[in-house]
Amino acid sequence: MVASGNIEHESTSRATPSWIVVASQELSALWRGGRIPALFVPFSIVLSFMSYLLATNKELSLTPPKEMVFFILQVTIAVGLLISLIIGANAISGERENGTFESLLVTPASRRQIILGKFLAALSPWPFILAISTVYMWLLSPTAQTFWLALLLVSVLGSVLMIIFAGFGLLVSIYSNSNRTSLSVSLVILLLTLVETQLPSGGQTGNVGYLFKRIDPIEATLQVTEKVLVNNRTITEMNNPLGSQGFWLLSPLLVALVVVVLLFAFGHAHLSLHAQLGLEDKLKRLRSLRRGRSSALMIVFVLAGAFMFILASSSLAARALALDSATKQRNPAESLQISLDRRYEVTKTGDEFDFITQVKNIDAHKQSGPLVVAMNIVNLGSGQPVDPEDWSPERTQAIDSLEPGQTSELTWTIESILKGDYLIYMVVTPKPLGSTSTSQPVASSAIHLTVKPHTRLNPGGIMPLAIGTPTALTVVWLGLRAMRRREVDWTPN
Amino acid sequence: MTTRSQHLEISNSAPYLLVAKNLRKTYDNKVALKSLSFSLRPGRIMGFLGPNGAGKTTAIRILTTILKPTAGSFSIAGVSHNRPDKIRQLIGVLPESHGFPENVTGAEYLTYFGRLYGQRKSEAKKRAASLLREVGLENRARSLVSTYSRGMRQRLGIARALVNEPPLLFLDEPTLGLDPKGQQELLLLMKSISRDHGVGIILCSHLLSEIEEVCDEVIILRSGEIVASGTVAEVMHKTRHNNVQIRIPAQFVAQAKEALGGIPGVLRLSQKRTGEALCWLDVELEEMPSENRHAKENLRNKLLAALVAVEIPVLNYSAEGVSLQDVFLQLTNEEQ
Repeated sequence: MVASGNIEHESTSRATPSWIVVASQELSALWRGGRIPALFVPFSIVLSFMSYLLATNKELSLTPPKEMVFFILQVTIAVGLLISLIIGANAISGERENGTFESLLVTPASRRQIILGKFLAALSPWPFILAISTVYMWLLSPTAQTFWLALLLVSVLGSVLMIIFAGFGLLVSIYSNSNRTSLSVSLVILLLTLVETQLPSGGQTGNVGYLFKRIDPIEATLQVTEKVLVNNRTITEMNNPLGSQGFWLLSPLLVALVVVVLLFAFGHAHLSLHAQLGLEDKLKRLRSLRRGRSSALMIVFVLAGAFMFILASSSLAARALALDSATKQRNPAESLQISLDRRYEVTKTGDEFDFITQVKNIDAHKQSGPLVVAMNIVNLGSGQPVDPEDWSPERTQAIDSLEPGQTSELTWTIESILKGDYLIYMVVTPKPLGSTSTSQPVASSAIHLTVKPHTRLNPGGIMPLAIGTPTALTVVWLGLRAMRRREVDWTPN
Repeated sequence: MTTRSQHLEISNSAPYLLVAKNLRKTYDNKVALKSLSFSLRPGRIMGFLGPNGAGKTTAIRILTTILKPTAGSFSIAGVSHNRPDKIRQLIGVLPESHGFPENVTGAEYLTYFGRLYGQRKSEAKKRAASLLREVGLENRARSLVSTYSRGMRQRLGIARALVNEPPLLFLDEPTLGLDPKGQQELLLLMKSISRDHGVGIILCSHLLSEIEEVCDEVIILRSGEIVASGTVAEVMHKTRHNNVQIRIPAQFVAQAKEALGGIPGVLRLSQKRTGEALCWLDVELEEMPSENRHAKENLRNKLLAALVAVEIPVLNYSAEGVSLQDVFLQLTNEEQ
């Protein structure tokens, strides 16, 4: 009695919060002895292999370097998600299965702190996965700018996804009595989020595909990442609710918020010895849905779905409205001239250059209507057609109107994505009056662009890191194992 | 022995460590625990006895704040059950068939729990070492728990339950699956913990010898109800120990009932296990003052003589009521 009084007194004065104790115990279970580091070795081997192929293989090296970086980024996120999800899904159901949960529940550690500790442990591999992938992103990035942009995107947006999936796995685990249930439920849900990307392209385009892409947090995040990294869009452009792209990050941010709220506002109340409303029973009952909790859950799902649908369709409607108003414009005009400031340019992949176009209203009397200037790139070689969206942040620019004789200058930025031989030319065209009228474009002369391969992307540069990284990780892993072996006494009694 | 009786005297005058009033637990429509009321003084060991499904583990889980009672209340060292966080500071628990995490050593395991109770790392390490010494595992402190024998694991479990120096300890089937030597070691450990630290213990067990050996008090549960409670001696005394059991071939049952029914002192005759070739006949005798042993023995002999007289082959003849085992079986078998 007296002794316990002492402990209580001390615990109030300088105790480590339980979530730190739980987290450090979980971390040591995952990391000590090299369990998680063991996963890093195959991960880095896959990335090394991919990078080497991308850089040296004849066909694959035709992939624009920025897309290579995006490819690495995708794999990084996928591996991170899977690991966080599995650790999260094991967290509570694993304790139940091993019979260690009751001992934990009778300690004074609060339920919420137990969840927080386990949640942090499930997130712990992510920074390391990110660090490993940084090596490869740096290796493949054509410019420092691309590298930093990729790193920023993956660390911020990837982290949001990790929070979603670690938290989701943990939630499933709270409601499961066995690892088998929690793992299969979480993995099925993860697969469902990937189904959409596997649909034939028709399923991915139409309104339904568009809707799915927006609801699915993984797909929405990858869309933003790809458009910003590869297609020269900006983050604000991709997340403007009123703009043509809409608010892509709404779904990931909203889902992350919901998961965190569910976990910390409600999860702790369900952290009982045996899962209340266990998922096992729920799965059995799915066949015959009854009233009560299941139908309440259904209603929540339907409402959430409807909300998402309204969100996506309103953004679709906004887009349609913008297109419609664009067609109801004024008169065509033919008295326009467009010229360029150079005839040729020689660059290396990843290099950027600017050029200027001049648009002149050569009519002596008439003011021109609103004008659109568009850039086109033609591949003179035998490779793939060029997607100008990848090459320039702005494919078209608008001019309000030109007074008689007035000249307007526009600046364009081109990024040399792929090595090869190209022609860049511009057209200026007045906006047609309405849906039943048309207009006549006027073309400029062309810039002959020769893009030479970037020197960084050679096998010689890739090799040392492609071999070195997995080797270093193997050494770290073996080191951790050896350290653990030294800590533990292996002599039989 | 003197220290033990002195200790008991002291604890008898001490306030109650645990008071439970009308604890009840129901799941949907099933009643797991009907109404459990009892109290325990510091330093005493109480046994919970009962067959599977009697509500022992449910009772323990309510008292250890794992389950909420449907009705009723309890308090530990004056702390109400409405303050589970405070209660958890005051108790140590060895749950039934508990497991251990993989890849931890005994010392690491105890240190982790010490820290969950708010001990600083250095403090928790020191405490872990002394607990391992106390349960005789100091040589295996740095070995992985997965290499421990079952008995060692149970001892480590008890060490874990003691990590916060609780005044009250709950042990749910601590000797389950242990060999006789392991069981004996564990019982001695329990006794020494109770004696040396003045810790109250609630011990769940289906092994009656164990309860008889270490417990001061006992509660026998059946289908969620207390069927007997008190000190071990009281419980044994309270129950009927006047029965005689006779094993005879089934075809003689009617004849035997006739022969025995008329003897003065025989209250009731009942037959166990009907439909078999051999069966047990249970003869309930009238209550007699315990000092009058002679009369009871005479009566028993009369029964036997009556059966022999009508030439019924008696295969087995047993006078019940000598151990807690019989009391237990008698109480828990009724109506089954």
